[in-house]
Amino acid sequence: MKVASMKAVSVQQVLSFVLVISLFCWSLVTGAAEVNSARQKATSLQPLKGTFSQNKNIKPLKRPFKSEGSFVYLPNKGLLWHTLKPVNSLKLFANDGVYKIDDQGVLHKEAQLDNDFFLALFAADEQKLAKFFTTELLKSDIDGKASCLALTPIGSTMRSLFKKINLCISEVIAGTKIPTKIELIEAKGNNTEIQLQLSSEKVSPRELAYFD
Amino acid sequence: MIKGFTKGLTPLLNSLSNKSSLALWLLIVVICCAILLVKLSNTEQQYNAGLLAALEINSPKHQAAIALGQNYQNKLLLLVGHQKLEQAVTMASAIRLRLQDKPWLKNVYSNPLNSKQLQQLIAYYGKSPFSYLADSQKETLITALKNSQAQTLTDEYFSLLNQWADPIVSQSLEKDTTLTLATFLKERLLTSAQESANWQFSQQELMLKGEEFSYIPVFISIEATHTNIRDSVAIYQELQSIKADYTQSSTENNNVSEVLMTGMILHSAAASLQAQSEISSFGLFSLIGVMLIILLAFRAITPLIACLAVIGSAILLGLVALTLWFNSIHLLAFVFAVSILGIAVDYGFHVLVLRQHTQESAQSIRSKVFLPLTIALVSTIAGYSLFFTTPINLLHQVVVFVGFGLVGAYLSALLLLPNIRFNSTGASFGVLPKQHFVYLFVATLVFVISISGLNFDDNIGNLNTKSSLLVQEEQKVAKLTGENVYPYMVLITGNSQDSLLQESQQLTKNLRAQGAVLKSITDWQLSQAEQQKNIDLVRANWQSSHYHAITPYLDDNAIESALAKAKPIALLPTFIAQNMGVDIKKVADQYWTALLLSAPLSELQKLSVAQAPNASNVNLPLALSKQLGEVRANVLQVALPAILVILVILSLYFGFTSALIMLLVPTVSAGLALVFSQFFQASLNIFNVLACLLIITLAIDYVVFFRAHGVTKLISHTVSLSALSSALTFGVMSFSTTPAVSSFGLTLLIGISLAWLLSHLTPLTYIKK
Repeated sequence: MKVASMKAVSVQQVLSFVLVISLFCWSLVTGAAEVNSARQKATSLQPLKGTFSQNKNIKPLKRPFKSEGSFVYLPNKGLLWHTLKPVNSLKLFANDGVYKIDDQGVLHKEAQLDNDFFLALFAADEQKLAKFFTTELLKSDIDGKASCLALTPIGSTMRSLFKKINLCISEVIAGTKIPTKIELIEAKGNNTEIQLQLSSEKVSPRELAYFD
Repeated sequence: MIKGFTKGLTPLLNSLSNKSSLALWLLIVVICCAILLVKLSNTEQQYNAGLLAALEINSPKHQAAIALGQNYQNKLLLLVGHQKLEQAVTMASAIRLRLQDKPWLKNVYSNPLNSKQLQQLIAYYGKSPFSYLADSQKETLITALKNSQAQTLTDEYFSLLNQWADPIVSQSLEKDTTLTLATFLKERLLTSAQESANWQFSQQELMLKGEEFSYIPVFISIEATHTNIRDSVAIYQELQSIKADYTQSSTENNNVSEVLMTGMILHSAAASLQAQSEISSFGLFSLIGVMLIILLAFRAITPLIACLAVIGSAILLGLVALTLWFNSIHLLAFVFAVSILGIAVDYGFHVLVLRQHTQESAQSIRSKVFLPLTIALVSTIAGYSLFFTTPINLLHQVVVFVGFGLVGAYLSALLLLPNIRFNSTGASFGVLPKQHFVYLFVATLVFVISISGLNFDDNIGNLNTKSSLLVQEEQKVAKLTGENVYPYMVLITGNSQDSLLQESQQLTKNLRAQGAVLKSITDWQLSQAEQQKNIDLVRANWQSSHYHAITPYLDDNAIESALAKAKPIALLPTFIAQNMGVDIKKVADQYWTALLLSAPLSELQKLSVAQAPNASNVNLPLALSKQLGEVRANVLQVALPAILVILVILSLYFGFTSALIMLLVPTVSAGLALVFSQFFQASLNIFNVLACLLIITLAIDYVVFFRAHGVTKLISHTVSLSALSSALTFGVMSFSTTPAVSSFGLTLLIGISLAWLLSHLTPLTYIKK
């Protein structure tokens, strides 16, 4: 009888123990996930700075047009594109349009077309890219940190501009991917290749201020 | 003279046997049918609608304004709106696809940078890429020469080349590697479009952002050969169906979307559909009403068929005259022309009432009705002919239709109806109230007292019918685009295209400096001298080695050979007009163009226009309204002598005092009709006044009958039948949605009723001694 009552208590205790432990584990897991997501969010909003070199093969031109410069990418905010050679020009691709920044640092909105899809290319966000392109995976490395996509435009306007865009992306920080190579193949046969490389140089407060 | 004429014709009519008069009538009908068939089978009759088309504009300035506005006649704009831009793009694409095979379609596109239009522009300006320069580049080139340094020019070239995706650059490179053409087209197509309105590019698409939806435009151009009424209606119905389809399917998917449409042609189509519906409904209603009156009056089928034959002949003769006389017929003319049913049937009544009450021979009846019918015909045609004094082309058509129609009714009544025999006693419409001059005196007094309170408004906008749905959509589109759907015009004239372009360029510059947002032909077309200046500017920069930095990218001697070939491009305003809507037209041996402004001119801008020697601000609706006001005043000047002529004619027959009383009845009725019309209308217009002319000519018949035959129940019966049928057919018009038609119908309804009343109440039996 005593044994029986002890057994009954121990079953109750075991059940309670299991329940408490389960709740504890669940709270730990969810708490950790929240911390992880917050950390990821913090890193993904960090500005990334790098350099680029662009090589443009335009059929009617005798020689390729080469340019180079630096860029600052602030996820969800935009892209600061600073061409240094052969011309010094500073442009901000923001969510609400493209701005040319003059020598005094004043922003002038441009009658420009290519803000949305270039930001989508930089974000390497498949959901955003799907608005403009059908995507095909060209190659992917073993750990999935770098991959190349072939993008074919959907809309007639985009089709009139580009035959195909090849985009190679790489995960630079956990959760943040940026392009390492963009190849724009135009409908008329012209070809633009942009190579991008992250640099260790810090983003200056002046550069960051443009995003505000 | 009239007496002599009628005396001369009566024996001729009496000599006609029953068979020969019937044969003559049949011959007339057959000839008319043959003419109509030949005419309609050989040429397609042109029709037009809308009140503007109803007016004859004589001033070269206004003719030029209308001609320059024609470019808007074949342009349509659809705005396809959806909460999601991608959906709007898809819907717009599906609509373009649906329209693609339509025979009337000239061009359809949503993005000007992804269209045939851009290719056409590149082909046209690519012939001599240095002839046209962007304002910014022109400034750069001038500064480069002045400062002897080319850095900005080089920077601009490399900046353009450095761009990732620019359709203008990539498409124009083959024609011009210096990118002068690309710079020019970019400035003209993009900067001007974005400065002047709310247009923006998003996801590579030209779009508008509304409060609820994102809108993708569908720009449609219609082939010039398909802007007639019939095709306009087909286009309107097709677009309505597209609108319904896309709104419906979106609703089913639980999404909200809308398709807005604007275009002048849609108004013509809507007006035409309205006119067609009124022609058929008013015509049917009038015909049924008239048939009921005939059946009540005669209670037999034979007189009904006879009256329908009279009406049929009237319509036939009217149509033949109308198609032979005019190349293009206004649909509203047919709405006005429905009145012929009521007037034509009167002629039948006069003969048939006589036939009903006597057993006399056809010849005897013919000779009895000949005089009153002839007076009625002449006076009605004379009344209608006064409409010829107006510049309203629509009314000229009404005169021709009704005038010849009445001749048809008159001939039928004289040749066909006296031969008809029937035995029936119908209901009498005759009334014999106690007559006294006091009624006419009181009516005259009321008229004289009230005349000063008449309120006229000649604004053409109040006369025109506009589909409220289309107007609402236009307002919505104007709000979204930030531009007026139909622009304000500043007209400029010149002896040659070059001098016109030079003056236009100067005025455009001045007005823009004062903040005006406008479209000008000189954005796209420069005088030969101005083009040569641009070429010389590029040449001077090349000679100063300012293209040195970019030449390594270009073929050997590319700029040199381009400059050697460069010469001003031949002016082609039609091509520019088709693409841009700005044009040059030749009217009255002068060249004309218009600056198209998105807002009315400010006081300062008006001053600039006034200072330009050959420019003037045009407000077509205001000018037309002013013209209508002048016409209204002129009508009275014409009507007065006409009334005096009628007085003289009546005096010859009935003596001056009788004639004066006889004339007072219709004149006072017409005047009172105006007074009472004002109770139903906010203000009176020219069509109320024109109705008065007709009241006088129709009501003269009533008093002539009473005066000629005496006040008997039989004559009262005839006059009542005539007044009833006229009031019915004109009264129906007062239900028209076109204010011009309803004003006309209302005044006639009131006037005829008053004339009928006064002709019964006024003693007219004074006999000339």
